[in-house]
Amino acid sequence: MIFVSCSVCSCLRLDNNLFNNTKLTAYLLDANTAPQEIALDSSYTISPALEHIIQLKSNDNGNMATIYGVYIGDMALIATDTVIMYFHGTKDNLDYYWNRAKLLANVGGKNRYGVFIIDYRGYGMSQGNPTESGMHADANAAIAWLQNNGLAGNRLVVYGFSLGTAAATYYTAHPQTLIPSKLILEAPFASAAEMVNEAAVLAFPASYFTNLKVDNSQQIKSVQQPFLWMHGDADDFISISQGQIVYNNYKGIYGEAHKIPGATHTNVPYTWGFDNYKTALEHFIVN
Amino acid sequence: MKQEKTIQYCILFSVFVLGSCAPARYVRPLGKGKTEVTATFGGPLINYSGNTIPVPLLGFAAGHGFTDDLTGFAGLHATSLAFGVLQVDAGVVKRLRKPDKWIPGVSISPVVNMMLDKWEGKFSLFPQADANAYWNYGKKKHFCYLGLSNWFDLHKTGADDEPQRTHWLPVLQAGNTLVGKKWEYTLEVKYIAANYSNQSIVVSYVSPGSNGALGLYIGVTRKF
Repeated sequence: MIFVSCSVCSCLRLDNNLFNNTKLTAYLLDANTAPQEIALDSSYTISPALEHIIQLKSNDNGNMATIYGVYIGDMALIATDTVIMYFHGTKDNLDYYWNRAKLLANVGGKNRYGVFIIDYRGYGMSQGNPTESGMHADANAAIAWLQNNGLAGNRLVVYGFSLGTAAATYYTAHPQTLIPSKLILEAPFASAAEMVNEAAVLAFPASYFTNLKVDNSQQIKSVQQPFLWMHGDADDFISISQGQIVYNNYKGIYGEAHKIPGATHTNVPYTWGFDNYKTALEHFIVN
Repeated sequence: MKQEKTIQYCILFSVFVLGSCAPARYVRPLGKGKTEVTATFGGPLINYSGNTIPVPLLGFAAGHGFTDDLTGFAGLHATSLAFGVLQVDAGVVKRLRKPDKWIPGVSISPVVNMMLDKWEGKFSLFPQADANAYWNYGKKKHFCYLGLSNWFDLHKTGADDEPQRTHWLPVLQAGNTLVGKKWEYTLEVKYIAANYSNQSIVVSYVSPGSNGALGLYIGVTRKF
């Protein structure tokens, strides 16, 4: 019976393990006392008047979902500001990455740039369940929202961290609305296939375990915009060699690599030093 | 952080599914004309909810003695089917010397592991070479054994056309088989991938050190 069950099922996939989402009924943001991705002191505080919880609709081939996000900045100035579109990693929801968003909101000075962070469907208050196609649809929807609020592509900087590098790279390679001016990837994985190969040791095809098609190493080939890559050389989750594959495949007009000694997967900004991190991003954005 | 590691170590866990599904197929030849069918169960030991349990992997195999010293066999990994992967293995076990009291018998076993998935039709082949020493005991010739199983990866490149870094995956194995008239019962312990670190893994593998994982397997054999 077990044999027949296994044969009939043959449906085990690891796809859902890409998403470690936690749903919420409300965002805590600054009131969040749980551990976050990074810890910031009070100098990074953002005025609550500049923290806007946003709802938008996302359509993944007919699968509609209401997506939540937070825009940090003066919404009336989106038409003139440069905005960093931040795609977060796999864990929990945007409350976990809230300090990362605030850190970006302090690049170049407090609120120098607008910052928009969303929760993919299934994360936080966003409806639905996370999927690869849904993540891309949600990324499109977020940037479409920015466009509808007056942003132009030459003032859009797309930033992806970890899982979010898939959304960031894919959108930049295949822009649906605004064409980003620049791409920043922090700790990108090369592809689902490379993740399988690296973790499996032996050259098993990714299809033995997953149907995921995420492939930064290929998508980056379609990116011509200036590209900044940062990665910890002690990253024990997504090895720096994966990020190097992505960087090596970039053939655009300007590439900048920052390999941070001693940094692991989640503490690149901290290990690098927040000031160094912010300075590097500011220099990349303005030049 | 633990949650973020889930994808990576689920994959590593799955490697054990595909790569360490079963105990050694046949350590000593069956004898000319003899046929046996075996069901195996077990896998790498993990700490789960406060208990140490083997990963529940299921497999089947059949063997036939061509000569007194040479047995052919084939196996099917039922758990791999759950992943949509048809995984079979086929090989022979050749006795090089018979056991003599405390001097063990020695056998070698070349095997081919083949996999084909239903999702993209990708085929993989991994050669395997085992060597075992075994000792008979008792009137019924129960036997215990100690050996080394080796998986080989002959791919020059892996994902993204990057050079394939690992070409050898060793597994130490030790076991005991109780022999009856119609049935045999095997208990085997493996030390899987002893040359790879198991540190910072969200799945808590049991191992004697900071590398690899111990595995526990049972086999039930019907003789015909």
